[in-house]
Amino acid sequence: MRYFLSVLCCCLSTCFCFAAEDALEDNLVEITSTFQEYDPFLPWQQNPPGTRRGYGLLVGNSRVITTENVVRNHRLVELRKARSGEKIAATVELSDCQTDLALLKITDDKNAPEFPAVEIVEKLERRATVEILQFDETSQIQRGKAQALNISVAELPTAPYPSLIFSLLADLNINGEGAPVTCDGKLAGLIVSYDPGARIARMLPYPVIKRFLDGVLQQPYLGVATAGIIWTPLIDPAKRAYLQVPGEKQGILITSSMPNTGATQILQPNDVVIELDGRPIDNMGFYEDEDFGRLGFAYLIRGRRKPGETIPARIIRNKSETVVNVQLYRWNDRNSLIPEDVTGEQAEYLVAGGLIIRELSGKYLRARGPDWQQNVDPRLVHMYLTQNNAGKRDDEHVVILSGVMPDPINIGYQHFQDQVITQLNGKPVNSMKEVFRIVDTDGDVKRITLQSIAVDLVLDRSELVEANKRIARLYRLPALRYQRDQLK
Amino acid sequence: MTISNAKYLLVLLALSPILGAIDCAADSLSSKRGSVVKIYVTIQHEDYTMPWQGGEPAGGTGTGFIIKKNRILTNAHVVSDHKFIEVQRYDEARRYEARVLFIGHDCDLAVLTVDDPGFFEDIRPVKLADSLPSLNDEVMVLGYPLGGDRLSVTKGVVSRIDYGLYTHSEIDQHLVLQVDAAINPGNSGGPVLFNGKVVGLAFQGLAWAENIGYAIPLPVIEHFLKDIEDDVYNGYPELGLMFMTTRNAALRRDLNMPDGKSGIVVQYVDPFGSAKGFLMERDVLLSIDSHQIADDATVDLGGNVVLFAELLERKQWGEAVTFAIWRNNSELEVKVPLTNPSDPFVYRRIYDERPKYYMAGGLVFAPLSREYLQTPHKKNVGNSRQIFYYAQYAKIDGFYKDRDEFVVLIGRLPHSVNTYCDSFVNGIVTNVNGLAIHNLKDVKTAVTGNKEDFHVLYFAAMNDSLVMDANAMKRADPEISARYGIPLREHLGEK
Repeated sequence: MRYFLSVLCCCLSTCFCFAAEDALEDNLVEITSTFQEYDPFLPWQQNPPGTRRGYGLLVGNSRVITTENVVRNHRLVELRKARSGEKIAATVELSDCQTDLALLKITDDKNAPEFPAVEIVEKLERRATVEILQFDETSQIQRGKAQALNISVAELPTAPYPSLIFSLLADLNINGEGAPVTCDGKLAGLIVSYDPGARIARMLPYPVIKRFLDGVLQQPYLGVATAGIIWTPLIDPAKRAYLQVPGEKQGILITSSMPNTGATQILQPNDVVIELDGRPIDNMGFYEDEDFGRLGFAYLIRGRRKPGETIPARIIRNKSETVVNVQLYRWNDRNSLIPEDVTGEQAEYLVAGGLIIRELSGKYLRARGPDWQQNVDPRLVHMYLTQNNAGKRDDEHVVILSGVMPDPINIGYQHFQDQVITQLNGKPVNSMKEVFRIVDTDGDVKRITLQSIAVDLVLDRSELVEANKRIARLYRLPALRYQRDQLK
Repeated sequence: MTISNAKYLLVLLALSPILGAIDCAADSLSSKRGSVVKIYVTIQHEDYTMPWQGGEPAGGTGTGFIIKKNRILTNAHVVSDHKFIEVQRYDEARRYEARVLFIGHDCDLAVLTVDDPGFFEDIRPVKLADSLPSLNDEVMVLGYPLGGDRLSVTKGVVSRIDYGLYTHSEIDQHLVLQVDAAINPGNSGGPVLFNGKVVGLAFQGLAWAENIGYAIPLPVIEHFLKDIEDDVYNGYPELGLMFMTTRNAALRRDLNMPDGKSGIVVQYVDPFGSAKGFLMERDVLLSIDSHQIADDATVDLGGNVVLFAELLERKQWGEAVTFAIWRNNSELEVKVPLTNPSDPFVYRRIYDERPKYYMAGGLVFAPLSREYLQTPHKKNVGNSRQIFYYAQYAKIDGFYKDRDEFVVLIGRLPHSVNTYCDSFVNGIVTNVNGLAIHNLKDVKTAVTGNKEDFHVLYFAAMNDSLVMDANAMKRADPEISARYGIPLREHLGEK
């Protein structure tokens, strides 16, 4: 890794400007990722494997940069160079869904292809003309022109996190995520999505890639900073007058904060943030960025600061102006009462007497299909949509009885599905961690209390061991529980 | 008995075009025909998105049959939201104006009358049968369905007798008679005859299915007719229980149930149900009116195994039901009087009522209702999913304790005074100007009684608050009324 660091630093600091003819062509690889996702309802099972095709760029020391989504839930990653049928095996060294970037390592680096150094552009103007590189049907390099239309802070297409995004109007049909975008032979960004109807591509631009690569070099990888601010524009003159906010154009209204972030203790609902990190924030949440012009203030934090740093926020609270310091963190999805779980990690679960116990996640809810908001119990939907208001403790989650695998031991309980479990063996449970602790202490599950149901589900202890074996055999469960980081 | 989630593809058979009924009997079809009448109705559903004006009027036809002097039985859905009703005998060209005497939206039945005595001259009412037919018995359905103007007769057999959803209210469940005779739009209200006597009344079909038609069976018709004997329709009493079966042996042991006893265990008692104050959670219901309840919630009625709820279906308001229950390790008998206070948190379809609303500064407030939940744009946007939660869990999660009804900001009529209020639309109002909101009238009280410069509104599960300049709002109200043609800025439902 240290060697890699030096190579990359060298690349970044050298300012070649080669004629763009074949720039980066030798760095381009096609990535074929075989992926597999866990079945949220039968969490010990996996759905049939699928393949995703995308592109990556050799950046140094057998490393390839691509988008996180290309290698999400990968089981096998293979690379291929242009005009070649040979597959090169690779592993995922680091992937970060909050930036949608991943770094791959070629497994057999003796056979790693040779390639020139990659330069990253210093600045890209709005309206700049860029080139997109990809393979055509015959594995030849294909280049197409595109124009940068728009620069904004927008949600990533594959995860609910904001990022600096460029929109491009492309003159070729982009056939894979991660396709590199170049300007004057230098890397300007990676494609993250493409709308063939409008011919609009969205690009993760060079500053994000630079920060990711810089971050990779500093072990441990710190990720992207978050303040945890939940806010709303403050345009309404009546509301500004009511809150006695001077001026007309400045300040956003704090409505809440993400749990366990810097904003949690420092900012309060009805605070008006007029400056962040020394920059005036307008009433729609924009500031004037020195490189990209008017941008959403999230870039001030995510693009210009690091986790662990502290930034000043000038606020109006109770009609008087004051400055508070907000500590920045890397957002941890597990801090949510209901984590998003966008990457679909294997869920922790316990099967007791055929009753499937797991935690609720955004991924689980969305697995009910495009109309999940209508198909799922409205209480769970409500809980998820207002989750930032809940969560009284750091590690509090929602434990549910996801479903029941019919067996004589659970007769009478088989219709229960998606019910919130409040107690196990008479003890309160707010996470799978607590579920495992209770089961390990008590030996087994004998009583499950469901929210708003006055009758507990009781299991026959004398039959439970036998029933568990029978259920595991009958339904072919490899294990009756999965506990992450289980101590052996 | 009500259910909360209706996902059936049941369709009512008396929608816009046609419902017809005719009277016919195997022995003397022609003599019965005269007592089957065609109903012409003009309806106007209320407009719940713009409650200050009526919805679009529509015409339709249906069927009814004369059950005794001056009384015509038909479906409630044929005449709901009516503005004008006429009836016509099959043997006369003249139409007579009719009016609704009784209507039961929970059982989809209505009784009409005609003030002109000439209409009922020389008519022999149709007789109700003494009992339901059996499966595979041949029945005849009379009516005026699609495909022509004159009477239609179809034949089929009884395919099933079961509990089913009554789509008119969208939440009630009663016995349903399923027949394989063709029943089509226009048949609604028409009699289903067995051996020349009425055993049912055609009322709904099943979309995308063949040879499945549904009729309201004799016991439900008789329940309705008995209910209105005192000239008031009370409706079906609600016990208000949710229960679990005790099929699980471990659960039975946990409840300390003695061997040989069976029953169902109460998991929830509705605060508005008849059982409140009489039955408790974790009570095991062992028998109902001396009929033993099996652990799968059925009772044996002389060889017929039916859900225990069928015995409740036979009860009228004011009657009582007696349960033997297992509570605290002993058996006792509990008599539950079946009376029902009105329950504002049951979201049936609303008919024949003017919607309530209150408007201020172009913001329109209304009580949460099934109609409002079903307006198409409420399906999946912004705050709208949350109101489905409040509607379904009002009682279970205890929201009913703090309010008489949910008050929703149902929309805004755009004006510069409310330009920035869109994010609050579909929110449930909890507090206005410091006053906790229990009902729609509270919103008006809080707004009109406010002496401050601003109105401040809070909404359930929202941290942001809506602020309005009080003086600007006062000035805007007449402008908004004029701009959007609002005749009245409120209808609070007060007499």
